[in-house]
Amino acid sequence: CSMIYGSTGATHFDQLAKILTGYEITGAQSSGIFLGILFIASGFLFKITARTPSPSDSISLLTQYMWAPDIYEGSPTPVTAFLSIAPKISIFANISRLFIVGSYGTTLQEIFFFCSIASMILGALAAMAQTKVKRLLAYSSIGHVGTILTGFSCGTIEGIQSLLIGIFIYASMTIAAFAIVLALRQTRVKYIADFGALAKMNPILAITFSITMFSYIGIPPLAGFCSKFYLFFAALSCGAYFLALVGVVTSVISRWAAGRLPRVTKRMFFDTPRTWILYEPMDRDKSLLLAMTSSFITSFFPYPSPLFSVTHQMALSSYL
Amino acid sequence: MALSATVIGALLGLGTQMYSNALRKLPYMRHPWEHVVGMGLGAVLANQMVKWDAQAAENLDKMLLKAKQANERRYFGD
Repeated sequence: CSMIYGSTGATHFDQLAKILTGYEITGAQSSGIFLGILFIASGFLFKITARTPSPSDSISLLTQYMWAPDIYEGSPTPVTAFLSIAPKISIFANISRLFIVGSYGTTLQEIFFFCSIASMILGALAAMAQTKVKRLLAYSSIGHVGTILTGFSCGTIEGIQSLLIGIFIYASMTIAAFAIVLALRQTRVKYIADFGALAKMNPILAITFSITMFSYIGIPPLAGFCSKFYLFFAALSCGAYFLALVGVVTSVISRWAAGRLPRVTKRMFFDTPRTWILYEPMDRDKSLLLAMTSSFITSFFPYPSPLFSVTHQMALSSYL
Repeated sequence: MALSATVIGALLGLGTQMYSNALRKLPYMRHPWEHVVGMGLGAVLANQMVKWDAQAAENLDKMLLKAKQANERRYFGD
């Protein structure tokens, strides 16, 4: 921010938009503005746990996602649940505000394009090796953030609308996932292997978790499928065919190879656990929250138009 | 339209409360007054959602019309 202020002398978004448009029209370049936008984008990407591609990750300073799995695993589950939802919503709102007025050439759009691809690939592949539930959810959220960043990469109103739809659906899915982890916290479920025989102990909870995971990976007719479909459709509309292709391929990888579907569901329905865990009854708040979010995830598909209309309005009002 | 929204909302509310009981491994109809509350809330929310959707669609059309007129003034006004 200070570099942008130093180069332009402006902090107001409207003034900044006029100055940067002037730069674009005249073809002038400013390394101060470029670096300022780069550092701001880096800070935002750090907060939303996106991944920036780099030639060598071992020496890179740009892999902003690396804190997420360790922090998600080490923090208390309510804190992790909050961290995975609230900052992402606020930062995406912040980015969309800056993105619209802070366009300096296509700097921000290119950054988000490559970060989206890298995050989707990392989220799909790194999840394969995870054995702990919260780390799996962390990499899942990294992959989902990459999918949502597709909306910014488009640079169109449709892209912003699909991004807003994606954030809303991501928030409800994550609330459901962490409500389940919280419900099982008393039984000390930490590893994916601890889900063994959950289907025998609490079949409805096992079905709920399966539905949430199916929604995460984009199985129709759940809400997650609608969000991914609309995001990739927006990418295709603006000509980002490679981005849409990467999104589809990583969704397929996470569906089959990364094992969110087969591994967790197989554990719950077909495996016996290493140690049998005594079931403790869930409290009413969690059960109601889970019931409401699962109802939303399953019943969104037949009637998505309220969310579509509202997000279209929000995207248009940002640009008009 | 209002009848179908009411019925669907009531069913969703009832289903949500029964689902909540099932998650806690209780009988589905334990505390039936909660099911009545769920049905009522579901019906009200569904109707409000339908009205809100219609209003949002109307506002969106107005916004698009305004933008189209502004574009026409800007580019075809001369």
